[in-house]
Amino acid sequence: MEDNRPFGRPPPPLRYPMDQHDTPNDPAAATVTPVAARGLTKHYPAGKTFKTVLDGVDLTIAAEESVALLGRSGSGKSTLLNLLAGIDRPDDGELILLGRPLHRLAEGDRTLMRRRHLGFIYQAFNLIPTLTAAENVGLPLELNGWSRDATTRRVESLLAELDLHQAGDAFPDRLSGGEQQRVAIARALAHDPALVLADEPTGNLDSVTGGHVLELLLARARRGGQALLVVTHSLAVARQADRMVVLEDGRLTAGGAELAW
Amino acid sequence: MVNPLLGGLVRASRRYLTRHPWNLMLAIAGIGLGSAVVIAVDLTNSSARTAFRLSMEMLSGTATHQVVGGPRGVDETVYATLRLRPGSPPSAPVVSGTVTLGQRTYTLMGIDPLGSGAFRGDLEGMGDGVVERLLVTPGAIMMSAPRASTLGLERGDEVVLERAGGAHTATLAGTFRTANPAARDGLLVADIASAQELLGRVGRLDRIDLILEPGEEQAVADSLPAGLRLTPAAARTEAGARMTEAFHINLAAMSLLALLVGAFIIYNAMTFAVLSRRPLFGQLRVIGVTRGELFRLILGEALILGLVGTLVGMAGGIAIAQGLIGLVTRTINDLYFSLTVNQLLVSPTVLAKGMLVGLGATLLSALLPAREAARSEPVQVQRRSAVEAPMTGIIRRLAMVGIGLFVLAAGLLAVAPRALVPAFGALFMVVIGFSLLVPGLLVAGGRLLGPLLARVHPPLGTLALRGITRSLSRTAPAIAALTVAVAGTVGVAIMIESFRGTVELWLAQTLTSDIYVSAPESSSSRIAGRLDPALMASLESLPGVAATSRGRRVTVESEHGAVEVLALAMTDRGDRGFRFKGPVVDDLWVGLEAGDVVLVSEPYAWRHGVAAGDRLELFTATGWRTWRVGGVFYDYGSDRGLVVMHQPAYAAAWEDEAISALGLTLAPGEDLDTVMARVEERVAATAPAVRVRANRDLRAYSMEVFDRTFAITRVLRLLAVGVAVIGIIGALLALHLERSREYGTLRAIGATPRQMGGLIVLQSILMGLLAGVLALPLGLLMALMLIKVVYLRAFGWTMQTLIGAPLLAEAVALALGAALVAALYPAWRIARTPPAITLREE
Repeated sequence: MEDNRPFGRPPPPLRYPMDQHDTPNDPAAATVTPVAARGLTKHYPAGKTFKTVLDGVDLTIAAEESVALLGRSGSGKSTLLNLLAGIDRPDDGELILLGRPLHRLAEGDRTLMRRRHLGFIYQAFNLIPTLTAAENVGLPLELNGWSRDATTRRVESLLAELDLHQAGDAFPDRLSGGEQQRVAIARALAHDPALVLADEPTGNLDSVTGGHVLELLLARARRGGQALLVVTHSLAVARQADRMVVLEDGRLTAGGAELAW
Repeated sequence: MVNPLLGGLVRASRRYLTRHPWNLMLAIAGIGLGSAVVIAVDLTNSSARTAFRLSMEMLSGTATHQVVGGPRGVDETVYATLRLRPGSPPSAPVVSGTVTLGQRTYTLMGIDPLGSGAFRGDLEGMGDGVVERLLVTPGAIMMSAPRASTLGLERGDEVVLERAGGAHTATLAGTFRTANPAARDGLLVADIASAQELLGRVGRLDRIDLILEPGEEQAVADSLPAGLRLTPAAARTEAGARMTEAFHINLAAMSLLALLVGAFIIYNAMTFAVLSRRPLFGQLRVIGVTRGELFRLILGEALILGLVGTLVGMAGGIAIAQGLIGLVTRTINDLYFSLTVNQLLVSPTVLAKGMLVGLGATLLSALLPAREAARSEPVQVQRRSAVEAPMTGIIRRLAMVGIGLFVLAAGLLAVAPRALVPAFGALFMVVIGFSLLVPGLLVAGGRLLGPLLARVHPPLGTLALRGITRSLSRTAPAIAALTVAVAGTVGVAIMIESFRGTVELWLAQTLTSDIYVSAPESSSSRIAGRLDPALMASLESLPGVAATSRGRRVTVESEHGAVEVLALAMTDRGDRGFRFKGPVVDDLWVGLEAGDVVLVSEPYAWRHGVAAGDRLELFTATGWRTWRVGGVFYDYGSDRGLVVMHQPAYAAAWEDEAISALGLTLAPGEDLDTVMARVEERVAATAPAVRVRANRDLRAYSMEVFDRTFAITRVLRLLAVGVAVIGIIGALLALHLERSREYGTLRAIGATPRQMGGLIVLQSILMGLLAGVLALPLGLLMALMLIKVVYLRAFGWTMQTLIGAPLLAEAVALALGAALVAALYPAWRIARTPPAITLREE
């Protein structure tokens, strides 16, 4: 049977666990592959049968690499993102995050992995409406037990970097779409995660603002040494990433994906 | 023709609700709960009123007038004279009293079987030889056929009737049929002579019933001997109804409190039902649904939800009322009148009223969000912040209206300084006014608590607090509902405790004797019995007895209607146990003993505007006579009022030498138990039905009756809190359902299930704490208004205000506990919901 997987040949065996790298800002963590998935499969019930949303997906993202994930609506992009984030479990396959088998970890450990090593950016921003911009950015730091002063310094620095120093005390409903997404980026990067997952980060923004936000995200991720997976419909957005992969009918097709798309 | 767009709208609305059963259930449960409590209290109240009316009708029959006498009733020879006079109107003698058969209390009514036919048209089946049997069989009685069947009795069976004076054997002579439930369940009929014997009232009648044509009254009144009066039969029923009016108003007030709490819950349920669908409404507006159509859709839906919710509330209300009716009738029996009906009478009028209240509250609650949703631009309707932004803007306006209501309440109290209904009106204005201040107070509370929580419990503390203060459209009504319920608890508890403390003090000051000996009561109108003079003399001469007091408590007619008179004779003058309110006449005690001065109790003085130095007319055995009021004394034994006079003066005026109670004061150093044993021994030998009680036992009994009286109030209080707790659960669920996406984000960025549960619990505790703290000032204000205004106006009682710190702490703990209970399910639910599900788009 022909191997249709995007990498042509089976990936090397996955290495885990590597608990000694399980702390943020640990220089050694950067040397470990942030995420490596092999054979990820996910089904959802559809009436009396099951629909296969992901069918044996293999994907590895190296440190400091940005990958664009393209796919039509319903192709399973969000499901893949949820699996990579550990907020959903695969029905089959392996998923190694920073050397640890995320698919085997208990809910509590997966939560801690997300808290320490992942950053999220959503199309709908998903800022906490009851917190100010600065408090939203500081939230992952506080969850990670940063001191009050360290959190304040970090938040101020990020807000300044993302040109949001005037918006720190504003609640999300008082900010423009572009500003909200920049706050979301700041929140995703605040704790220096190894992997940032962005789901249609420019989907709710006009093209100029979207372009600016994407530029900012890519530049900031590169500068911070973070791996980045951007889910998008837009080829223009995808082209700015180091690599593109396409999800179609539950399978990743790469190689000539750019042309095929 | 049906508008096709409307059909589509209704379908969209219906499917949304059926696909979100939680939202649907919350709305229906909120409306159902809110209306259930109101319907329950209203049903209980109306059942008690109906029971009272039926019991009065049972005794009155079809008489238009009654001949009544003084405390000793009417001599039966008056009836014979009246009946034998040529051209005399139809008349019938009546004697009645309360007896016990098995576990149940009945009214035993003696009638003239030959002459009462015209009066007792309500009792069918009195023919067929029954009359003869009633007349010739000693101790023959009749009861309703259904009751006889329930008891398994047949004609000729013997039963034992017990009354305070002892037990008597009676024979069932036959049965009657009646449409009056009071008579069906609680009336025994006997020949007048048998009844007199069974009730220990030989030779005396309670009254003579008459059927008079218009214009005959004066001639009959003129023909009566001195000491007897002619009164319209309705006057008795009206007097009875007035007697319990304040009690019913008190209950109605509790139901209004429940309504207020219920209204908040209904408002909460309806605003959630609308707000949770803002995106849907936004989409409908985008595709061309007009504002009017959207407004009508929301109100139409509210109408249907209101109908279903109120029907659920009716069923719940009837179930709750079944539990309450026993408490209410017991209180009425304790304090006012022996009711023979104690089952719930489900009145269609009350149910219809409950339906209107439920529907009205639902529609009113839906009006504001419906108007807001319909008036907003489509893009705004889809944003939650569009609701909260104007909410923060109207906080100031709400507070202004709240303060305005406080001012109005003060004005109302000043304009109507005696009326009860305006007092309740003012109380409710204060409660509603305070509720309108709640959003502003929450914001202020948030500012105070914010820095502390951010320091102590970051970041969840801030998240929990902001969840409250930045979602006021959702949290303020829920907190206001809990605040009002807990404040009601605080207010009523302080009032009851203050009242209790006042009564305890009053009992300690008033009950100055060590041992009390009292004759059993002998009729349904609670005319006290009489003690044997020989027994009294024997008890008064017992070794160890230093002083005695003799008393007789009877009901007489005053210029203001029936009033209880306590005739007292004391061998030891001392301070006589009276505490006076305001000035007294100079010759108080001399005048009292001379027989031309009486004392009136505070409720009597309040009700009838009587003060020291005023004149008071009482109807004596020789007609109307005037007394001077010597002073107004504090008395908590009766809300109808009491007149105290010197016993010899009473005996002379009413030709009644009888004594119904005797107080014995022991000499210093005497052992109470030893003297009690001597008293009991002598009583048991001559009059076993006479009751002997030590001072402490009488006080304990009085406090027991007091506590029973407020049992219904306590239950209603708990019901209001219960409704508020369920309301808070609903509000929290609604809040959390609405925020599921936000929670999904928090989970995605690393908040653990435990932290999410903690967030919900912390938020709920904060809501409870804020409600508990806010409930304290409102509760204290309510307590002061209840004590200083409402109860004074309703019953004429001045009470001390006793505020115990533990009670206030309990109130805060109650609010916290309620909020904590309310948090458990939402916390469990949120903590176990996978983030992938909560993050998924709808």
